Amino acid sequence: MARSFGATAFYAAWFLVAALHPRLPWYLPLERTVAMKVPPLSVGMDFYAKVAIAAAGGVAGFAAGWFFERRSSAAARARWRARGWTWALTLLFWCATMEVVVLSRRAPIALPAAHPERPPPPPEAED
Amino acid sequence: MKPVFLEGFGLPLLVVHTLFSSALLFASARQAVLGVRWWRGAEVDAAAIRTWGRVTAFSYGLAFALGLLLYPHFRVHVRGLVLDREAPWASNLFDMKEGLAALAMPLVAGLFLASRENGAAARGAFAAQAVALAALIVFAFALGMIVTATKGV
Repeated sequence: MARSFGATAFYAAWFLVAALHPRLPWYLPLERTVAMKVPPLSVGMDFYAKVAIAAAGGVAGFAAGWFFERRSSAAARARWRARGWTWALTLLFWCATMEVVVLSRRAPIALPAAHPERPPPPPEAED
Repeated sequence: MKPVFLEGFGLPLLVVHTLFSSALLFASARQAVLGVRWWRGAEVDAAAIRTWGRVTAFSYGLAFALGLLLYPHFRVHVRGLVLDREAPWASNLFDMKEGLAALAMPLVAGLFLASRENGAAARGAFAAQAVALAALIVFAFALGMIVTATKGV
């Protein structure tokens, strides 16, 4: 029961973050810092924040499930375990589908060609 | 401009990440087979379930952690400077892979805890989780191989 509640909460948190696009902290690898928005001509990574939020949701769900597990009968535990995994796997399906659909349509923005981090082009062969 | 985190370790990190991902692929597939056999009523050794639960959790933890360490270098030098410009489809496949791998986390944790119950876990739930995990890992591994073949480091 605790595990299924934890998984459900993890996927619910992931789904909400992916669907609602809340303001997240971004890791800026070029500046090696964290900021709430990505400066122009830079790159940002919100993956760490997404994983942290979903994991925190999962831990909270696990704790809630553990709490209720201690206070329910064996029959209720079995019933809620089955319901929990049904919800968790359904949400997993929706999260995975959303990842695939959204990312298959994305047009990424490349760093500018003159960016200081861009390696120089190889010398052209001379005849 | 500061150097990107661990930018000089791109290749060794990628190799070790791939090794642990391969171990995870095998372990999750093995766990799915065991789970389905157990669900169908076959005699399955509880020690085997426990062992593969540990191997899956260990290889997932290390592969995921190494991926997180490698990500800043990849984001700047591979995705930002090359893939976003020359192969945007590979950038999207990479982010898909990262998302799907992260979605496997609760399944890995759940299977690891269930495998420690010495056969007392619900068989149907165990089999469903194991099959879902194996499907996610197979898909993510295939996407990772395609991206790495396009540009790895």
